[in-house]
Amino acid sequence: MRILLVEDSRDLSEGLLERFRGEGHAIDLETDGAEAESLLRHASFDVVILDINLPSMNGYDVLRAMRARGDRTPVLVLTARSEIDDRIVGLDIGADDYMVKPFDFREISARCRALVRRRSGEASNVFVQGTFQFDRGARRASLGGIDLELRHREVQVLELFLSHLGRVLTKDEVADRIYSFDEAPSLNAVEQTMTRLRKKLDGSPIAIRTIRGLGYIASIRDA
Amino acid sequence: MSRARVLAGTSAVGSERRPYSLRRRLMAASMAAFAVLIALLSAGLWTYARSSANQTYDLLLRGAAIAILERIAVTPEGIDIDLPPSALEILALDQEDRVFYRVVDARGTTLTGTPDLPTEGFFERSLPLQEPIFFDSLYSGETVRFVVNGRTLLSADRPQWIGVQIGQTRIARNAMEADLILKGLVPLAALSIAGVAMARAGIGFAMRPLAGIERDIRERQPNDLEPLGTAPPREVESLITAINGFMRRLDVSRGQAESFIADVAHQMRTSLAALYGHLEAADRPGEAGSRAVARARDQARRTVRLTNQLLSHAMVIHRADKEMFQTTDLGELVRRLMEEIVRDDAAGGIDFAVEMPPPPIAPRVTGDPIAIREALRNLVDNAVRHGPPDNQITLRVTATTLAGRPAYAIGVEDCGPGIAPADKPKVVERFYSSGPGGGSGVGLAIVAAVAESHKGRFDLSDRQPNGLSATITLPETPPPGPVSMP
Repeated sequence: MRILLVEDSRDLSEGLLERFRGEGHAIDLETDGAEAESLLRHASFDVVILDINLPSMNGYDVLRAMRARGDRTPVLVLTARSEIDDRIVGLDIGADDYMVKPFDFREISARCRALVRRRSGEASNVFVQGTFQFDRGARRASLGGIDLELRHREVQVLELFLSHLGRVLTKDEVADRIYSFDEAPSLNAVEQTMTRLRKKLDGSPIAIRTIRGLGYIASIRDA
Repeated sequence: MSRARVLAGTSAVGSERRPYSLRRRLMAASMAAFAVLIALLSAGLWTYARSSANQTYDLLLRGAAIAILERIAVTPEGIDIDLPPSALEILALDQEDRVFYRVVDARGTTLTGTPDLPTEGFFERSLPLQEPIFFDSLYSGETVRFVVNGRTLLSADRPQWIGVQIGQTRIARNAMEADLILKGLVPLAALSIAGVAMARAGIGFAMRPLAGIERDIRERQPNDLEPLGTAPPREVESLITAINGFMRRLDVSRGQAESFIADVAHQMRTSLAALYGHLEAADRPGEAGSRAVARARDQARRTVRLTNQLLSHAMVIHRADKEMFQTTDLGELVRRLMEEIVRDDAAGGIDFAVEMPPPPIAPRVTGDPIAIREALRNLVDNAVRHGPPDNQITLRVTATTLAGRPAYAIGVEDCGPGIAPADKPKVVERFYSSGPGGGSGVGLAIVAAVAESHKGRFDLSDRQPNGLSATITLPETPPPGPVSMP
């Protein structure tokens, strides 16, 4: 992986550089927001690890500038817990993931790998996570090379969840997706679809949790 | 032109910013009162002076008219007028004044004297017999005071009215009038000046305690929060009481901040000392070394959590001071919270449930969403930490009332071991932690602080057969008034 780390804390960046280089990745360090921004205009990376509090230009502005010029490089935002309200903003302006400081170095490396795999799958319209693959074009999901034999509605629901990872989807929102206007939506049928889909996804890194009374949240279990 | 107006405008803004002066206000008010008083008294004085001057000189005019009338007699040849010189001499006492006269009959024909004296229409009214008529009129370029009086003479054939009209210029009268006004105004002006001076002195005297209070506060050391010692006058007593109350609260809050810092310092030092100890043991060979590393990592994790919780606590208190209240949709807040929790709940064995009030109730409170979410996050974290791996955690929002106001209760229920009754009051204190999964001991203190800053309440109760229900109740809109933070 080619990684850009934008972090002005020397202690933290040294540890991360050592970790990623030890794993055999190419990692560059920028300590200044504006310089990182101009670097990102010219060089391309597989993933950007972006701190929020940076000198001369904050991380959100760097991220906003990237997304504004159509740069879809996966970005993992580093934030402090005191910036907890900023965290949601980070995801809303196009961060792919975030980690709260201080964090486990093993986890940040796993998340970077997951982001890169997911993005490389997107290029070929395939969602890849570990041994799980979902081909959006062919509308087929497979686990370890074996077709999961998803039905039409299950594919639609899976597509919905994969595009809303980590977000609550209510039963009504799921029903809206799988029923057209002239079909009478039945929440029972939604539940049945969910049960079948979950059974088929058993053993895959995709986990769909039910929050009773609220809806469903799909998340990726780190492989 | 426009430039001048701009300049005038800025100077007006500049003078608006200056705080108003009580002394100037009181002075302006008392001077205005004096001015009104003097104006009223002057008007009265002028009326009095004019009427007494008129009365005095009218008596003379009347006397002259009577004297002339008495000397008019009817003779067979006609009417005989024998003007007494004394009658007009009385009127010419003042050198400057001029006197005019004529004798007329009932038809207005002048029998003797100046014929063109103004009549002011008295011939059209009933002719005066006993009571004379007085009037002012312009004659020969001056205002002249006239008297008209008459008597009925019995001539041979019929009674005949004969009148006399005498005019006198007003010089002597006006001099008397001016003299009277002047003599009245001089003491009045002196009285007013004395009154304003006394008011000024009185205001200064009354304001003196305020200057004393100001001096007291100005000369204090920044850490001197003793109540003000001066016995305040009744009018500013409540102000002084408020200042003293404010200083007392400041003192309490400073004491709390000091004890908080001392607590935090102690906790951080202890935690870091333990970490340091584990790291020292880490370079031992073999099993003992790797155990020490594992313990050090564990200790580091606890230190991180403690730091985060302390910062969160400080943030909640800080935000409470700034009153960052806004309309907060509890449904949306719970939804985001669940996303956050599911994301961080690695194992995923816990069964989460959310119960919202049935539509059409849309649970909203006026509050600080960040602080509320932080409180709920701590409650859920506690439930996760202290409960079994297959815990059932329910987040329940119900409409209720708090001290008669509409409120929402947000309860977090779990199937954990609960809290022993004796421990319940203690767990909301800072750095008190219980049970094997004991955390930093700050979590519930955060929840209690959030409840307090929203003027809500925080309750812990047991569930049957086991488990804990932790409920934070927030009023829909907090009642007005200051928040007293613990």
